This record gives sequence, structure tokens and C-alpha cells, in this order.
Amino acid sequence: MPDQRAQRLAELVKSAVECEPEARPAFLDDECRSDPAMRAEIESLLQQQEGASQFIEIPALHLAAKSFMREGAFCAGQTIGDYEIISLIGSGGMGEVYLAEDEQLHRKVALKLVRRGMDSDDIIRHFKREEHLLASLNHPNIAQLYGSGVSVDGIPFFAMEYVEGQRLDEYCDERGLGTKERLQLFRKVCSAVTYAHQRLVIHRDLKPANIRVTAAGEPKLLDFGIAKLLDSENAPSRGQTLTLQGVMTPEYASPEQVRGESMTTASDVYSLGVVLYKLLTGQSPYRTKTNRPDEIVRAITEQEPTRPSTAIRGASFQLAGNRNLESCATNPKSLRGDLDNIVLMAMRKEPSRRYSSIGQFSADIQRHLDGLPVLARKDTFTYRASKFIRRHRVAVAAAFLILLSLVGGIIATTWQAQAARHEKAKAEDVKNALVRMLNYSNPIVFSPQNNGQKTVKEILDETAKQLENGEFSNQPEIKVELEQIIAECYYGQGNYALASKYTQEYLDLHRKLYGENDIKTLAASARRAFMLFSEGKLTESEKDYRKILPLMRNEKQKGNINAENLASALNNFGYLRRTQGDSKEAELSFRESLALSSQMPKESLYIIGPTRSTLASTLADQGRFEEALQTAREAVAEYRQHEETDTPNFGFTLTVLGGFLTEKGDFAEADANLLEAEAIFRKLLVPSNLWSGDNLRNQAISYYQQGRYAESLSKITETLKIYRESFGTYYDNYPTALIINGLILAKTGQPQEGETILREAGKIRTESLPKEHYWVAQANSALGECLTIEKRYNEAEPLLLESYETLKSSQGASNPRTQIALRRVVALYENWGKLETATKYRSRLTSGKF
Amino acid sequence: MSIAPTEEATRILQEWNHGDANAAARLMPLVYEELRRRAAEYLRHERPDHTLQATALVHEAYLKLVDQNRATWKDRMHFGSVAASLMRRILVQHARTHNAAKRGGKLEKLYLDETRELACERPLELVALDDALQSFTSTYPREGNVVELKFFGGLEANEIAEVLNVSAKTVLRDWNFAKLWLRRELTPSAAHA
Repeated sequence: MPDQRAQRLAELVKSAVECEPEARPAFLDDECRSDPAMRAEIESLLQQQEGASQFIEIPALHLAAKSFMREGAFCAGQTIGDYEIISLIGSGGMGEVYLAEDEQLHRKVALKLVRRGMDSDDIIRHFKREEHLLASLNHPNIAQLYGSGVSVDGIPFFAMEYVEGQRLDEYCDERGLGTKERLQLFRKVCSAVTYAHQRLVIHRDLKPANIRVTAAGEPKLLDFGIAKLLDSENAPSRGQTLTLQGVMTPEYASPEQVRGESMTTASDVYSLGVVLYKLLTGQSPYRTKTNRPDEIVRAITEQEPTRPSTAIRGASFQLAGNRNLESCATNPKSLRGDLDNIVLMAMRKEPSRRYSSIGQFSADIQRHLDGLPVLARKDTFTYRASKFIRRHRVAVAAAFLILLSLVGGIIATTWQAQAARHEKAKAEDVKNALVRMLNYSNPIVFSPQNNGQKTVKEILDETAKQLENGEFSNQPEIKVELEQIIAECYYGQGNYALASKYTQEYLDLHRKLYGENDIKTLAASARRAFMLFSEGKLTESEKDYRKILPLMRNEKQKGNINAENLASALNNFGYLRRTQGDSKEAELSFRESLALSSQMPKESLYIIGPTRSTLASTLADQGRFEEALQTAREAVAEYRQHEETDTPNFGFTLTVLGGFLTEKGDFAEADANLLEAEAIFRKLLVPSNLWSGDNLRNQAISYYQQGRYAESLSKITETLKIYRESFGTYYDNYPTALIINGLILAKTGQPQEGETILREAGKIRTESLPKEHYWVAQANSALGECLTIEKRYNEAEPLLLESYETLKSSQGASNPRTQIALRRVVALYENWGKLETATKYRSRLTSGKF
Repeated sequence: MSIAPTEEATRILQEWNHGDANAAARLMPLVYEELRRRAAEYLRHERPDHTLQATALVHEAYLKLVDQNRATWKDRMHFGSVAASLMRRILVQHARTHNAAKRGGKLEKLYLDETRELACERPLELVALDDALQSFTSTYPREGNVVELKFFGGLEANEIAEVLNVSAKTVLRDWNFAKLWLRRELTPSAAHA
């Protein structure tokens, strides 16, 4: 077939495969209308789909291994010792198993031949030593060992009772046994193991494949003690990492076994725990991404198993189709509580913390069946957590890689996760990069052009959902890190309720994991305090900060935390105190923070934000207007000097300066600054960012004062929308925005509507601030102006006078804010016709500008 | 002084990263030796119920041969692609030897009988598959590559996408097509035109 035609064939087949089966004929009709040969070719390929699902899906190596194993070294009719081979019935870790007949006793036996390569004299000696011990195990639920020997070509073998039966798990599933029946069957297995333990024989390789159930419903344990016979050369030496051949059946192997440590009856307790786990849930207790031995070993020694009741819930999806799950009938509810605890107690990592014997394990199951209280208790969280921390530092890093890959669209290969283990430090960097990437001040993710926000939000919601579903509940250290990221991301997106929720959760986890006094817990507490503030819980937040800040200063002194951490907390405390009306304390906090900046690397400045600008605002609050303006100018100059002008922080400093210039009446300069800031925000922030709101608000104020009411109204409407959607009505600038809105309405013929809004602003102010705060006065003064327009002079007078006095005493007589209030007093008396009084007040105006 | 294999392999991978077109060829003998040894050991000893896969082998060889402190995940991709083609050679060679030894004997040809549970599926013969794949690859080089990387190398779709520098979706499409083509080729009653 010519090349082009071959390519077309390939393309058409690929597309046809992706078509819904019903749509396929139409697709082919369309594509091959004039080319019946092509169509026939395509259809002959598509025919292959039938039954092709498994074709070459399993990697060749695995297939080859399986296939090679299927061939036995012996054929039917050959004899080994007294036994005549009938057929090969299996091959396992140790070698091949044949069905054979004992020629003397005329009974069927299972003949196990030890695989070649193991047939050393050593093993044979070992055999002989143990043989009589194993042969003495005589129990209806244990397959009897008849004898052992060595074939003519030197291969050791065992002859064992031949059991015609099904694997335990398959038996249960096929017959659709319920939980109770499964437990009863399992207890029979326990009694057999107990019997052997009393005779000092440990099984060492308990797994469903070694537990057969006969047609009569009797379980039979195969290969008791055999593992030990073969152990001498195979066990990894103590402390050695597991290699391919190390462990008999990794899935059921106990932690001490995979570590190559000595095994006891407790190891059988563990393996039976896993068997029960699988019987009840149909699932493996551990989740590994691959079947790589190192990963399996890691899971066994480090991972806490998913609780059976949780595992079964996850399982019902996958299994419902191909297994008789309804009848396997393990209802998650029936597992929760006792059974969860019983299984997990048997499976504890430390042998000494498991049931002390199989008998005790079995008795606990019986107690559960009888409805009596059981011995098993939920493992204490702190115990598990403390173990976890010691073991899991790297897994956490790996989790970040995975999360990062979601963000960046980078492929998460198991390899990367592996690399993370080797390079913890690198993973730390990744984590930091991730947090920075998702941080609100980072332009890449939140820029409106790249649609990044949507993706991030999806990732967030998805990750949050995973956490809700208990995904990481067994891995608290991963969980805690994820919660932090999620909280910060939600914060960055302006979803303060969720941000606060996750912050609380990770703080709680921090307390459990690290204790109250750890610096990580301290940092989490500081973040929580900030989130409380963001949520509008000012008093609670203040209380927390007063507790946290002295501790942080102390840790900073000791060198345990760096300057950025403390500065960031001080800044946030400053914002809080200013919101609460205490600009004096806010100023001190900002100044303390600024003093720390010399100890910070330059790239950390973004963390602490535009401190100098917020300091300027607190100075203005205190009536130190000229000082404030000067400081705001310095802030802008500082950013320009460091060429940090392409940052949201710089936009914010411009916005603050623009606000002061507006108050001063320098509208041209004010507007220039505000528009420059707006351009920066448009480029770097999502439109709903709070700082964009502040910028629009300051523009609205400027336009209002210039009498450009229509423009002002459109800006302030946008501002209020942003405030409501992001921070909510407790944001300290929200009432200011309401005031502008109310005043515009009052001045454009809708004084009643304006009054309503102004009263709302006043109400918010009086609720959160002391009566003498100038923000309260500003609200009252504005309302007075509105009432003046409504010609309700009697009502306006006390409001206007009182607020003027308050502003005068708090801000100073010549402060622009005081002057605005004064002009309103003058306007009141002029409109009222009390011209003498008006003149008296007019004489106090510093400039006649308006 | 001779260079340790680790040093050697790591260096070659770095050169590969820097665009050295011959790096793959120079890496082959090193990896081949390591893989051959491990595969033989695996085939001799491994239990069928122990679901260890080619990836594990490749991974172990990789850990052995490459200095992890200097390796990047891209190195791992390069390594994986070389390993896949070597694994193919090793396994097919193994099957040929095996089949030759059995020819005329009492045992059957070596089939890769992965589908015992699916009664209708026929067993797969590795040497025949290799032949079919060769002929497939001559017409469809990329698609053939996908099969080699996945079936012989045990690489995941996303890893293959990375190696071949195409999207994961393309890998999946290629794979679907290759499966149909190869399966038809291996069907005894191949009556297609």
C-alpha cells in the first residue's frame, strides 16, 4: 500500500475507534464513499476489536515470566520417589507443584518440587530437621505433610495432602457469602493457625492462595511452615533493602518480614489481618501506584492502611461489575467501628501492638459476632501521627510533585515521585514554587488573559473534595500541607469562608501533629488569626494575635523563625488594628515590620506587602496628613527605585498615593497615579481582586470631588460589587464606598435612596468602631449633607456639627477631612438661610476651593 | 582507569540531553548487559503471582546504572526508551532459543498465554509478534515505537508521549490502531486483502 494511503488508513481507523459504535457506519460512509477497498480494509481491522481488549496489554516481560513458569520440568507418567506425576497443577515461588499419586498408598498427593537453583545440600539438611515437626501437624484444617525427599537428579520435594478446593477469597465471592459467614469461615482458619502456633510452627506465608476451601466448606491451610524451610538463602539480611526475590508474597507480608527481621507468631497475625481485610473489602489495604517492590515495601512498612469501611466504599464502583459485590455484601456500615478496629489491630506495624495471639484475634471476632464489646480500639491519632512524621517527610514532597504536575500540566510519572524521595530539598523548592505560583500576588496564575484562574480553581476544588472524602486521612502530614495550600489558594481567590475553614482544619492538625508549642503550629495560628480577620471576626482575631505575636518575637529572637514570618504577622495585625480603629497601635505594628525589612532578602518583600503605604494610611488616620502624603510618596519612589513596578504591590502604593492626592485636591496627579495602578491591576490581577476595588473606589472619590458624578457612580458601583463578592461588607473600605454612592445619589436627584445607603454606612461604622472614631464622624457628616439636600435642616444640624467637632479634634482643623465636614456645615447654614452662622464657619475654611 | 558503569551511563544521558544524537547507541551496550542479567534472573525465579513488571526491571537497572543525584526525569525517559528496545531484543531472543530447544521435543512452542481466563482469546506467540511488529513499524514507525515502548518497555502512555514528543492522546490513538493491526496480522485465518 502506498505510504499516503497507509497513513489515511491509520487516521481513519483511529478516528473510527473513537466513534460511538452507532456513529461508525455513518462515519465510514462519509469517509470512504468512493473507496470501497479502503472501507473493507478498515472494517477488517475494526473486526479485531472484538475480544481484543487484553491483547498485548500486559507487558511482555510479565507474560514471558508467566509463560515460562507454566512449563514443568516433569511430564505425566514420570516418577519421583514413590510418586507418579499426573499433571502440573501450579507453579509458585518455590517451584512447581504436581498432582501425583502415591503408588504404595494409592492416594493423590500434591508434590511440591523446589525450584532449581535452590537445591543445595543446605536446604536438604534443613528439610530433614523440620520434616518431622511439620508432619506432626495433624489438624482437619491443615493440609497434612506426608513426607519429603530428593529426586534422582537432586531436587528436593514435599508430598502433601492434595486438597481439591477453591481459594478462600474466590470461594467467598462465588458463593456470595455475607460478612457473618465470612467471619465464621475465617475463624476456622484461625483455629488451625492457633493449633500450629501451639506446636511452635509459624506459617510465614498466609494468603488466600494458601487457604483452600473444600466443597464441604472446610478451609484447609496449605504449605504450613514450608516458607521457613526455603528461607535460609532467600531472606534478605537484616536492614537490607528488598530485592525482587526477597519476599514470598509481598501483599500479605508483615513489615518485619519485608525488612528481613525475625518473624514470630505475630507475623502470622498480621498476614491473617490482611487476609481478613481482603475478605471483607475485596481491596488491598495499601495503595501503590506501581507494583515496584520498593514501593510495596514502603507501603507495608510506612503506609497506614485505609480503614476497611472506607476501602469498601471506594470499591463498590470498580467491583460491582465483575464481582458479586452485593452478595459479598460487605456493607460499609457493618465494617465501621468494631470490624475496622479488629482488622487494623491485627495489622499494626509493630508486632507488639497487634493481638498477642491468633486466638485473641479470633475471640475478638467472636465477641463482635455476639454483639459484645471488643478488645480492639481505634489506634490513637497522636500515636499514628507521630510515627507518620518520622517516616513520611518525603512522601509529602512527592505529593507536592503530583499537585504541581496538575498545575503545570506536567506529567506526573511515578518516576518523578521517586525522584522526590531522593531529593527532598528539591521537593521543598517545588512546594515553595507551588505556593508562590498560586499566591494571589503572583501574576501568572491570576492574570485574566491566560485563563489560569479557572484551572487553578478546578484543581483546588478537586483537591478539596479529595480531602473531604478522607483521601489523605491516613496521611496527616500530606493532608496538612495540602490544606495549607488550599486555604491560601482560596484566600488568593477571595473565597474567605473556605480559606478560613481550611486554615482552621490545618491548624487543628498542626496541633495534633506537632504540638501547641511548635513553630509550625505558631505559624499556622498566625495564619488562622489572619483568616479570622479576613472573615470579619475582628475581636477573635485580635485576641489570637495578642497571644501569638509575643511568642513570635521570642522565636525570632532565638532565630527559630525569620524576619518575613514576623513582619507578615505584624502587618496583618496592623491592618486589623486599623480596621478596629486603633491607628496608633497599627502604626507601631507597621513600623516594627518595616524595621525588619533590612533583614529580609529582596525577593521576600512581596510577602510582607506594601507596608509603607499602609503605614501612610494610619498616619492619615491620626490627622498627620502631610506626613502621610509624604510617606505614600516615599513608598512609590521606593518601588520605582527598585524597579519593582510590574507588581500588584506597586499598584497598591499608587492607589494609596492617589487617594491622598485626591483628598488634597490635586486631582490631575491623583488620577494619573490611579490610572497607572489600574493598568497594573488589569494586567496582573483578576478583576475581582480587592485591590482593584480599592483603586476604583479612589477613582470614584476623585471623580466625585471633581463633580463628575456619572463616572464616579459607575466606578463606585463596580467597587461595591467587588467588595461584596470578595471581602464582604466588613471590609473597612466598604462603608467609604457606600458613602460615595449615597452622596452621588443625593446630589443627582435621588436623596431618599442616598439617605438609605448613607444610613447603612453609618450603621456599619458605629457597630464596629468607637463613637469618637473619625470614620464614624465621616459617615455622619455625609448623612448630614444628604439631609441638607432634603431640606431636613433640623436633623442635619446636630450630625454635621458633632462630626465636624470629632474630626477637628482627631484629625486637626486644617485636615482635608475636617475641611470637608466644615464645608458641609457652611452649606447647611447657607441653605437654611442662617447666613451669619454660615459666615462664622466659613471663616474657618483654609482654602476656598469648594 | 576504566570508568564505572554508573559514571558512564549518567554521562551519556547528560550528553543526550545536550543533543548528542549518538548517545542512545552508546548507552545500549551498558543497559543491555544490565537488563539481560536482570531479565534472565527474573524469568528464572519470578513467581507468576508476583505481579512484577518490566517497569520494575527497567527501574532497577536504571537505579543501578545512573547516578540519581545527577539524573533528571528526562534522563529516565531516554533510558526507558532505550531499555524498551533492548527488552524486546532480550525477550524475543529468549523465546527463539527456547522454541528452538523445544522443537521436535515434547513441549509446545512458547506462547505468551496472558489470557487463560478469557477462553476465546488465543495465546500470543512472541516471535511471531516480533515479526509482525517489524513489518508494522516499517509502514508505521511512530505507532510501532509506541508498541515497543509500552509492550516491551512497560512505559505508561504519558511517559511514551514524553519520549516521542507527542500528546498522550496521540499515543492512545496509535496504540489502538497498532493493536488492531497486529492482532489481525497474527490471526491464523488472516484472510484480509
